[in-house]
Amino acid sequence: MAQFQSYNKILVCQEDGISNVFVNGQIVGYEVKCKYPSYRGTYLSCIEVFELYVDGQRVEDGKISFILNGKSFLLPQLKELFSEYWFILDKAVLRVWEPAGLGPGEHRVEIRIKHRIPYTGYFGEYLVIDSRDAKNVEVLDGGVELDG
Amino acid sequence: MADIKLGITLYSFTYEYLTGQYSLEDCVRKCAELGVDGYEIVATQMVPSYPYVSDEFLAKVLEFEYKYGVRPVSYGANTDRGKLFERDLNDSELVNDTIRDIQNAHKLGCKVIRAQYLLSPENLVAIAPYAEEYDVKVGIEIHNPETPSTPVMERYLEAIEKSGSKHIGFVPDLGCFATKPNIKNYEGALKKGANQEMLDYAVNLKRQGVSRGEAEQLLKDAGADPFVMSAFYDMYGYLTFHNEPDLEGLKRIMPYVFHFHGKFHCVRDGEETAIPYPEVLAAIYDSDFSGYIVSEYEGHSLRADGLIDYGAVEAVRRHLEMENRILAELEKK
Repeated sequence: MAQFQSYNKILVCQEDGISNVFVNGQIVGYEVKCKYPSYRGTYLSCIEVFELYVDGQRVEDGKISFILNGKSFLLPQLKELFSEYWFILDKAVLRVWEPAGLGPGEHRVEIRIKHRIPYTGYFGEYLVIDSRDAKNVEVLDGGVELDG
Repeated sequence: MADIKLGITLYSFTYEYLTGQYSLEDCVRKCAELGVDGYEIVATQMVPSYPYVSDEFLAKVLEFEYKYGVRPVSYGANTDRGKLFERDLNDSELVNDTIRDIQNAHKLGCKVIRAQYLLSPENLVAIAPYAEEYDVKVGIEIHNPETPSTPVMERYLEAIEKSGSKHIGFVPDLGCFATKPNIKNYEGALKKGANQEMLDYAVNLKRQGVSRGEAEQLLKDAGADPFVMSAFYDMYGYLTFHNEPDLEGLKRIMPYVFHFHGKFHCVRDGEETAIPYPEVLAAIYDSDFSGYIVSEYEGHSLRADGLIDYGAVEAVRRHLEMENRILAELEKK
C-alpha cells in the first residue's frame, strides 16, 4: 500500500500551470495537467472515481473533458476505456468548459481519484487505492488558443 | 556449474525516471556504465505504446543497443486480470493477453518474460505452445510472501513438470529468501519513532512462528505504537522474512528457473541488509542454471526517508559489486 501512496505527489502537474483556453480570442475555459500516480501506467478503465476541485469547489463532471492519447473523454466514460492506456510519463489534460476561465494568480488545484491495481486481486479483491494531491498552481500568461 | 550473467532491471531507476531525471536512454546508458550487457524492461512502465511495442520504440531500443552495447533480455509483464471495470478477464482472455506479451517480448528480442501469479498454472500451461513457437520463456514470479515451497508455487511446479515444456517455469525474486526484517521496515520504523523494544518484540513473534492474528493481538495488548504495527503488517506480508531461506525449495524448482530478480533494498558493508546473498548465490552456482540475475533495486524511498544518502546508480553499483565478489569467491572454491 505504502509503495503506491508515495507517488501521489505526481498527480497534479504544478510546473505546467493553468492555461485559460480561448476560441477566436474569447475565453471558453481553462486547463490543468495531471499524471497517473504510480510507478507504472494503467488502463483508464482502472480509474473508478476522478474528481477535480478548484479553490475548494468540486468542478462538475459534465464541464470537464479528460484529454489523453489525442482523444477527449467524459469522466464517467473512463471506466469503460479498457483500450486506452495512460502511459506513466504522459500528461492528461483536464479542460474545464467555464466561460469565465480562471483569474490571474495562484489557484488551489486538487485531484482525488480511486484507482484499481489490476494485477492484485489474489484473493478476489483488488487493491483499490485513494490518491489525492493538492497544489497551488499559477495561471500562465497567454493561455491556449483552440482552432476556431 | 551454472552460467550466471548479471544484468539490471530498469525498474531500479524508477525514482529517477518518474521524476524526469533519467530518460529511457539515460537508464540504458547507466546499465552500460555499471558494466552489464543486458537489462529487463517493465513494459507497463517504459513502453509508451503499451500494450503494444511500436516500431518507433523498437527503433529506439536498437539505437541504444548500438550506442551502448546493452540490450533488453527480459520483459517484465503485468498480468492485469482486473483491467475491466465490471468483471475479471476470463481464462482465454488472460491467455490471449499473455500471447500479446510474448509477441512484444519477441519483437524486442527478449528471451524471457516475467509473468505474475494471476496467470494460473492451467493458463501458464496453455500458453506454452506459443512460448515455444516464439522461443520466449515465460516464468511466474515468486515474490514474497511466496517462496518456492509454498502451496501456490507447488501447484505451478506440478503443472510445469506435467506439461513437459521447457518454455514455462519460474522467475524467483531473491527477496523471498530474506532472513531479516527489511531496512525500510525496521530502521525506517525506528526513524519514524517506533519503540525499539516493541519492534524487537514484533520481530521475535515472527521468528517464533506466531500466527499473524495471535501476534497482532499480543502486540496490541502490549500497547504497540502505530509505527510498530505498520512494520509488523509488512513483516507478515510483502516484506516478510524466514529463519531459514527456502533453498531446498529453490533446488527443486531449479530445472525450471531461467531468470532471477536480484531484489535488494540496501547493500551495506558488502552485504544486503535482509537477504543472505552468499548462501543464495552458492545454491544457484551449484545448479545448471543459465541466464541472468537482474539487479532489482526496491529502495526508491530510502533516500527520502533519510535512511541512505545515495541514489539508484550507487545502490545498483554496490549490489553488482557484492554479487561479483561472492561469485569470484565461489569460483575459487
